Parts: sequence; C-alpha cells; structure tokens
Amino acid sequence: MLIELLRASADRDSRRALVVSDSRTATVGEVLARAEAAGAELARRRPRRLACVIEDVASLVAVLCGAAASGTEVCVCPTYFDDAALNELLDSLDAALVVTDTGRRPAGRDVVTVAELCAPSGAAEDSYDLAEDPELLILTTGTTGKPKPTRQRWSRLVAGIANDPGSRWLLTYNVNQFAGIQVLLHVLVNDGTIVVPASRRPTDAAAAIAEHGVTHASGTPTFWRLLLVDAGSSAGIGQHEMPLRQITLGGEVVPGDLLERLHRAFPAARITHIYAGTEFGSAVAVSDGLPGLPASLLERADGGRAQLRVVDGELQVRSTVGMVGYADDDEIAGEWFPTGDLVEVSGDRVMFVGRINDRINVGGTKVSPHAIEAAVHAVDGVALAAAYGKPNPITGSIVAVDVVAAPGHDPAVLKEAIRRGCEALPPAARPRLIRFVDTIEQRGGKVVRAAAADAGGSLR
Amino acid sequence: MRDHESLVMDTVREMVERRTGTPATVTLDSDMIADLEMDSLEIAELSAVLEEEYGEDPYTAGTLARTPREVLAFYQSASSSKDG
Repeated sequence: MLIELLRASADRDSRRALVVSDSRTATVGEVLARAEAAGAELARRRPRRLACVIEDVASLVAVLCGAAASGTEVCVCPTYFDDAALNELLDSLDAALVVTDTGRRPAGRDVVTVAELCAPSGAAEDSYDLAEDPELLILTTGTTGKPKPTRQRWSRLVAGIANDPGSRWLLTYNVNQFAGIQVLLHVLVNDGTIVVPASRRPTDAAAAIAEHGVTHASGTPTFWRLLLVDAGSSAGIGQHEMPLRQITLGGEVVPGDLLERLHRAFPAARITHIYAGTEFGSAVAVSDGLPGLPASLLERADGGRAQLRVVDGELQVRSTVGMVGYADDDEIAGEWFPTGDLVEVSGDRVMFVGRINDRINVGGTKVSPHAIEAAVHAVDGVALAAAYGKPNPITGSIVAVDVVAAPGHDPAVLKEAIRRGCEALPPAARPRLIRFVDTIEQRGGKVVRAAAADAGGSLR
Repeated sequence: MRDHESLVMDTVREMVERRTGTPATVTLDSDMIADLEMDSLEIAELSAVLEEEYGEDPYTAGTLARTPREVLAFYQSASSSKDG
C-alpha cells in the first residue's frame, strides 16, 4: 500500500520534491526508484525481519516503502541507541538483517548498507508480488521507561490520515518514532513534502519553515514552547514571514496558556492538539482552541477511530487505528487499552492531570508534575520547565523544578516570580528547589523528567 | 561554595519570611520547629538546599538538627572527621 501511494504520486508528478533539506532535495521519482530496488532485493533475500538504523530521511522512506511492498516486516530503530541498546533490541526482535547508513555493523548479524539495498537494479514494479497488508514495528518513545516495540499495520496507520493536498510538513520528530511516521504518511497520502530542518533547535526549525514554505508543522508542546521563545528573540521567527496554515501539538499534555500563546503568534494558523499514543494510534484531534478533550467523546458508542472511557480516573482507549499488539505478543486489537493518563471530567471537558506513574509523593500527598509545570510555565521569562520528585529524608520526596530561562531574564528575579506563581498550589506541590539549567533532556521531543531528576543542575 | 553559616541563616530566614510575609529574626539558637514554627516541608526544603550545596546534610545523615547551630555543628564535625 505504501509503495502504491508513492507510485500514484510519481504518476502525477515524479519531479515533485518529496524530502527537502538545506543541502538536498529528493524527488518522488528518485525515492520511488530506490524503493523499487529495495523491494526487489528484499523479495529476493526474504529476511524474517529487517531492522532499519537509518539517519537520512529520504533513504528511510525508500527502505520503508520497499520493505512494505515486498512484505518484509520492518523495525525502525532509533539511531541514538548505543551499541549495547541496539544489540539488545535486535536480539529481542530476532532481526535477521540490518540496513543502515550510519557505518555501524552490529556484531553477529547480516548488515547491508542503504546504498547496496537501494542500488538501481533495473527492477520493474512487477518484479515481485506486492504484499497485501504488511506490518512494521515502532518503538514507544520510552520517556517513562524502556522503549517497547509495537506491531503496527500500514493500513491502520493510513486510515487515520486526513486529506489535505499539497501540504509541506516540517519534520520535528525522527521518522523512526510514531509521530514521525504520521508525518511521513500525511505527506505520502497528500502528495506533500517533508522539510527536514538543519537541526531540531528552534532557530533552525524557524528558518526551515520560512525558507522552505512549510505549511504544516507538528511538534510536542516542548518544541512549540521553545519555538515561541525563539519568536521573542531578534534572531528568531520574528525575523521571518511564517507561512504556517496548520499547527499540531501532541505527545505531552497541552496546556491552555500554550494554545493561547500559539494563537497570538500565528493568528492565521489552525491549531490542533492530537491525543495519540504509539499503542493506540492517533485517537482524537481537537481544534477548538481549548485544552483537554470534549467530554462528549466519552459518550460515543461508535467512535470512528477510537472510543474513550474513564476507569478509576484513568483514560482508556479502544482504537481501530492502534497497534496490533506488542512485538511478538498476541493480537490485542479491539481491547480497551489503559493509557496511564489520569483525567478529571470538568464540565464539558476531559482534563489531563498527570500520568499514573509520575506522581510525586510528598509526605503522603500525591502531586502531579503537570500542575506544577503549568504554574511555572505561566510565569513570564520561563522558556521550559520540568518538575520532578527529589528524594528527601523528611518527606520522602520534595518537588524540584528545572527551568530554562528565556534570554534576558535574571535567574534571581525569575526565581522569586516562580515562587509567587506557585503560591496557589498546595504547599506539598510548591517547588522547594528551583534550578536553572541550559537545557532539559528530551526524547522524541518530550521532556524526560527522570533525566532531570538525575542531573545536577546549578542552584542559584 | 557559600559559607555554611550565611547559607543556613539566609535559607532559614527566607523560608520563614516567605511564609509570614514579615521580616524574621533568626539566631543561631532559634529552635526552627518551636520558635520559628517551621513545618516538615520547610525542614525538608532546608535539607534539600544544604544537600544540593554541600553534597551532604544532617537530616539525610540521620541527625534531626533543631537549631542553625546544630546544623553547623554537623558540618564542623564532618569536616574534623575528614581532616582527622
């Protein structure tokens, strides 16, 4: 199905740009030729599973399309994994063949380079039988634990993609994660273009948006917060005319203040937040400008993509666009999936209050890092914040918060402003340690609170 | 690294003033629980600030220091045992 999208797109215009970066443009025709070559070669080799460790986006698209066409189950592996983590993953997946453009050669495995796999072979598109509905493995981002491989079907993933012809998407994610695959599919379904920024730093992202005419950008709330800080600086997006028509947020809780700030900065863009997870797919899209989800979604008997319910405060999803199951486990399609997201129904909205496993126990009182971060993010001068529990001999834990200050803000003044901004929180939830740091570790664009807890920021 | 006495006295004074909203008088012998009415969260905060600055603190080491002087005695004792 994937290669059929590419073939149809090439039939319409094979010279259209599919993947664009500052240094290179790959056309639909070029990527299709490489995908056909990869498909023919994989049909000849027939590996049980193919592991992709690929950095170049156009190459990854070609290999994914070739693998899907030949019926090869493929796992997109994070390129940031070190050798030990990669070997452990490959062992657990029993991946027979590894394709890479990184120069890495995992010991004891057959390794083929992207150049070898996608070398022009003169393969015609009818040189092998097209697979009907192949599967792929995508890892969860692992911000709250070890990444877990999920088994997905391309048909289900494509079913959740909206029609929006000609869109030019900024790639703020890796294509090896669920949200990155979503961007890829949006582009393949809609004859679109992927724009790859020079880096994921906000300045480079803003430059790519302006220089390459990006119309659609999807990122985590963390990504957008940092981009807005850049908007306020002289070198940032304030210098560019922004052609954005669609702003999409997902992967983390989306607070109301961020939606308002984005609307002020990009008044012409539609702003949508997505409730999605690697396991249950892209379940709900909300574009009404308000945080949380409409409570009416809980009453849908036949929910289209997904049904939602709340059990003991936890949101559960039954989805038609989610995973088939975890890697080699039984199929779980059709079952309710416990998301781990804690919610409260407030009026006509379902509001997110935290994750089941990230509450901080302060002397027996359980506090949510999300509520603390929302209070800190509302303080002018805070670019990004991560709240977490720090072990303490008196109360078990206390609340600490790492803060990246926006340029031009004095930490001592900002610290007092944060303390005042948190006075409305219950005493146990008020940050007792406020540390100013240059960066906060992210994985897949999301803040990693566990990393903040382990790091030694400087206390001022 | 800040001088132990100024960090302890400043931290305790700031915490009390933050709670009461009025200037506080803190001496080396003020009983932080009885005189200054610090609660467990404030003692926990003091412990965290000291641990962050010096890498160790009396409360984590199992000493329930009630006055700034007792806090400082912990560091003097730790320093003498290292020197010895």
